[in-house]
Amino acid sequence: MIDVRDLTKHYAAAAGLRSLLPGRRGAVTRAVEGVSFEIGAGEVLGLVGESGSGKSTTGRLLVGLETPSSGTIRIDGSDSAAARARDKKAFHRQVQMIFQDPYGALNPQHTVEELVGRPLLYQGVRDRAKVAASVRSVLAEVGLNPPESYLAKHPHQLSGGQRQRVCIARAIILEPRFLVADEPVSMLDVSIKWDIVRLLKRLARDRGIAMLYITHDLATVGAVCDRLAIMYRGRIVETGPVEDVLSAPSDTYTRTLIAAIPSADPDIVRVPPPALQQATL
Amino acid sequence: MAGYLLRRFWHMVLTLFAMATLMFFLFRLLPGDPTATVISPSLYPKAQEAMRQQFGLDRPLFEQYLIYLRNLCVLDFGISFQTNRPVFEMIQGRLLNTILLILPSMLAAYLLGAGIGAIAAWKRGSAAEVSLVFTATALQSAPLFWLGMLAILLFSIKLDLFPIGHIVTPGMFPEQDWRMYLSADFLHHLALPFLVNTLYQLCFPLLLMRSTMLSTIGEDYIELARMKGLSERRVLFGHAARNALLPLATTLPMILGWAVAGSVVIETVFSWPGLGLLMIDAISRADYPVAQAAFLLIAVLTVFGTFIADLLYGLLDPRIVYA
Repeated sequence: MIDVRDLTKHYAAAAGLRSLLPGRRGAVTRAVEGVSFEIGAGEVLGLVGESGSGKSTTGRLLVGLETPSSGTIRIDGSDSAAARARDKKAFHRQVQMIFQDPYGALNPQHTVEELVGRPLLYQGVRDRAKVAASVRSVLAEVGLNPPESYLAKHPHQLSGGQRQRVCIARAIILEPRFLVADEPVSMLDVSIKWDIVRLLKRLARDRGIAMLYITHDLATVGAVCDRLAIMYRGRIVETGPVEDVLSAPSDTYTRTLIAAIPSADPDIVRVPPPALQQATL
Repeated sequence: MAGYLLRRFWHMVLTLFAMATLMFFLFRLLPGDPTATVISPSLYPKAQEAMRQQFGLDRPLFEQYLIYLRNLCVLDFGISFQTNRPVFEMIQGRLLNTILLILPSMLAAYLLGAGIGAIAAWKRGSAAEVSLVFTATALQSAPLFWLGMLAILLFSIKLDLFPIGHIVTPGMFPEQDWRMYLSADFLHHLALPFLVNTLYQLCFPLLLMRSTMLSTIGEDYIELARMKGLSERRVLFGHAARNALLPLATTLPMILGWAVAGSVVIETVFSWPGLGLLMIDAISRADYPVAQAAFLLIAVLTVFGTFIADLLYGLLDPRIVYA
């Protein structure tokens, strides 16, 4: 369903007053370097990597918040850059995103009802009663029960987990085919983390949404992802089904990542692969 | 909310009392003896003594202070040493002149500044934006009196487009005649100080709007608005600007009081008969009652402006709750 080929994104270094001078060329940051993968309907692909590995940029490229330097993204066979240029509204009905920080992702001016309902209104649903009904059913679906008690609240009156549920509600109200979740649980409490992770998994399965789950936390990927892609310095270094990657990693970098998962049992000490022990010395 | 208002009101009263006290003693610490300017040394000593008694200057300082406080409570600001007219009456007309110059100018500066600042943030990094920020910073750092003098030199003397100063052509209207405010001559005199002041005051809201806008643009909810498929213009002006306006809107009432105080400079340069010019005259002639009243008025405006700003914040930002 989602088919990404040789995706590349390079940034020019920041400009300032000096950029007005003639003949100045900034340095280039290579955020994403020739990334390729596919995601099927109802499938969750985990994109794992450390900070600065380019995983968030990849997510932003997929939803059209950034334009790729080169490479193609196809959604159901049609080129996404062309689709977005042709009809921005129609494109975003298909493609939505959940952000890392549920505190920053909701406009503090609006109530929950406005936050969740506005995308529908903007997409041209004129029937207010229908919008109100959709808002209620989506809120219930993401576990904000009873929905009525949340409608008039502002984001600052909600807990982190509730906010993230609102973010998820407003992402799925348009019934997208493809969802990018950019570290959706990294800022939440451990106790809430698992509920949100399971919610995402259930939504992908029940609604047949293709999902890209971006994270640096290998501990949660087992619960939500079908396949994993490990990213390092802008490239995908390993990809495969979750169990295979976690139990028998072929790449040295993947093995270091797995070794870094903290364990609840102090007797179990994971040893990084010897090659990396050398390298870190 | 009612409790908050009451507490806030009590703080205002305390602040103003402190200001009034401070001013009373500060002016009496200034060099210059009012008796020397008001009471001619050529008068007989007996006549001098009589006048001192008339103004209450023969009593101990603390007693003078108590009389001053009692008179303040009934809005009696006393009689000017210089003109022998009630201070209240003198300030009234001058305050109107200042407001007619400063208020439209500040409103124009804020509206234009917010608009241009928002567009500047939108076009960040473009050559036009970089030069705009540079110009605004330079303009803001330039002394206002110098800008005023340059403007007079260029527009009044070289190009002869505007009169050099004053509120109307001297002699055209009898003093304190309200009809002068409706004349084209008044607008002609108003134009240059208005333009200079607006241009100067424009820089602060412009730069503030630009920087708050830039920090809101980085917020995730702006990206989220983009994800609705909204056009870039609607994202920036509907979502980013709405939130970026908060700090700006709340500085406006505070700045108004401050702007009236700042009118001293522009009024002096353009000989605009407002409160600022009155203050300068009063201080240089040790006319205590006038100077005290003028300063107190500015303090009231500032304190009241801050109060309005506090209330406005709660109105504009649902996150603020008064307790």
